[in-house]
Amino acid sequence: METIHSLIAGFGICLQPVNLLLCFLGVFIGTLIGVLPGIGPAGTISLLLPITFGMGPVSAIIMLAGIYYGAMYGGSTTSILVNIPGEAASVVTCLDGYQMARKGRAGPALGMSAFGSFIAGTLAIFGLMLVANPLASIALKFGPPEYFSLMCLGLTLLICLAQMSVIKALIMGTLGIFLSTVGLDSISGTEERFTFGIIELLDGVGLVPLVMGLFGISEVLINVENLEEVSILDTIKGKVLPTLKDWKDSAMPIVRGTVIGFFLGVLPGGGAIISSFVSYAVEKKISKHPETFGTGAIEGVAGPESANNAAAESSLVPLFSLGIPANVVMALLFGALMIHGLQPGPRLVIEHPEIFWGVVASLYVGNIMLLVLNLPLIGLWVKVLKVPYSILFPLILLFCLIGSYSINNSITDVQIMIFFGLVGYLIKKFGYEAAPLVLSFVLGPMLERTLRQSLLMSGGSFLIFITRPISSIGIFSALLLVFIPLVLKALGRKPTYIPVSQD
Amino acid sequence: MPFTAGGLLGVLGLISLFGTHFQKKGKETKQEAHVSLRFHPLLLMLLMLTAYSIVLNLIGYMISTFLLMFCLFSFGVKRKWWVIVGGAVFVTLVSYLVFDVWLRCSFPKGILEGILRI
Repeated sequence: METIHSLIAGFGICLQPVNLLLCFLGVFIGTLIGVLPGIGPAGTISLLLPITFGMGPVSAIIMLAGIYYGAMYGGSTTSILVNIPGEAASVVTCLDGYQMARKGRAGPALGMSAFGSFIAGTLAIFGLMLVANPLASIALKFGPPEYFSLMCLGLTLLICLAQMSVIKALIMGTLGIFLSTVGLDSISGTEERFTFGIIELLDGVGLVPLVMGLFGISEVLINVENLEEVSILDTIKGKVLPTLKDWKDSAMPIVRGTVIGFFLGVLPGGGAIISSFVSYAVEKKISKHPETFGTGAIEGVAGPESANNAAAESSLVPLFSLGIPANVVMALLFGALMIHGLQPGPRLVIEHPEIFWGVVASLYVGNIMLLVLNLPLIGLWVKVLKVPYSILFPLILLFCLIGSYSINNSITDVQIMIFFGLVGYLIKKFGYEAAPLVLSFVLGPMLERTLRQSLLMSGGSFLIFITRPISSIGIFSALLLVFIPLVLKALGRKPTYIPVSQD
Repeated sequence: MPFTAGGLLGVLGLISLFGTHFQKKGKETKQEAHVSLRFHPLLLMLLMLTAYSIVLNLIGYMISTFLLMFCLFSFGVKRKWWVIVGGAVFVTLVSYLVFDVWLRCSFPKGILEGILRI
């Protein structure tokens, strides 16, 4: 009953004209950048973060969250129409979505993707409502050792699930932690680390220049190598709405995708990308006709699309209830809340319920807006895609330059972004991924702080992580995740990694 | 923490290096097969962006952005000069109006400071 009252209060906040407009703006921009290859939700949110400084915290989070789940919707459009994933979570949609489009079934693929996303998004919101509050109450019992072990588990999950090479993922994760140590020591507050006399680095490397460089600039640097080859086709034929048979085939994949997406999204380190791959793997495994996958099976579109949308919304659970960002975008929302003077975590849900419930209500409204936007506007998105990349990439670069400069009005931030653009380019070229780097960069300061606080509590003994039950579960789970693949390899069995693209 | 992270990074780097070194000849990994660096566009693009970051404070947002957009619009494709100039002017003006005038991002004015203050 209390949940319903809180939700009604949340709707009261969300349905205020300003918040409604910002929600629409968020999902519209999100869908647009989801459609546009080369700029993802992380880059866009970091770009638009300075705009939200003048807004209230609820309005800011409503808009930024809208961009995220809007991008999950829009990302499938280019995957299906032109075999170019608008963002990384839609990579798997290319496999069967594009094949359906080639067979003239782009309409049902796009339609099912939109409906699946809507259903999964709505179901995930119910889960969010039910899980977040109890989890916040439990989280209040967490101390530094528990948080440390949970973050270790999250980082390990990301490394084990999302990568083909564990060593490369570990290198990226460690590099992220290393970069997070730049600046003033967070515990003593006096010791400078790796600043080389640059005043701007006293606060550490900025998250926004780092993310923009690694994702935005590097993507452009790769695409301009073959500028003439980046071409767009128009392959939409037939009806937009799926047939009754399509619905029959897709119903269970949508349900399974929702469940997979919700639980992987809740886990720190999980998220939309991993869940879409897991959903595709599950659908193929249990299908009576696995040979049809990759040739245009609608289950291969409905499952992953539902999973990535459910994960996009359930990843708000650890952010609000534990104060742990589950992925890069959540890390940016974490930053946005901090900028507005709020500390994400269990106290936020209890002390500022209006923010949590306002955002939950906006998810309902945003999902309906997205369905209305996505079905009739498919034709418009195709026209946006016709903008030649030679015109698009200067604009993407300019947005990145403005975005990084406007945070502190500092040229150093721009130069840091350009440097990480080159780093991101090399990372992608040599088969590494930027995601573990960014996530460990965000979690790094928290990881260090909780480690040092735990060691202060125990008088320097590492046994504190094993003697406390919740902490020991986290640590042992993380160790198991690392060692199981190694043991399997030693026994001569190939561990079943989920292939993730280098996008 | 920096020492641990740095040490771990070194060890992982060595494992990766020796792992690649001791691979049998002729068994090129999938990633290595795809590595193809095209230095010309990469260097040109980095040069343009770095030059922009250096001159931004000196000559101001308007002129430096116009020059950058002029270079980027003429990068890789052939267009008529007036299309490039028009596009660069349009993007510079619109971005200035949106981000500086409307959103108050406060870009450096540079040598146009006197004119833009009027």
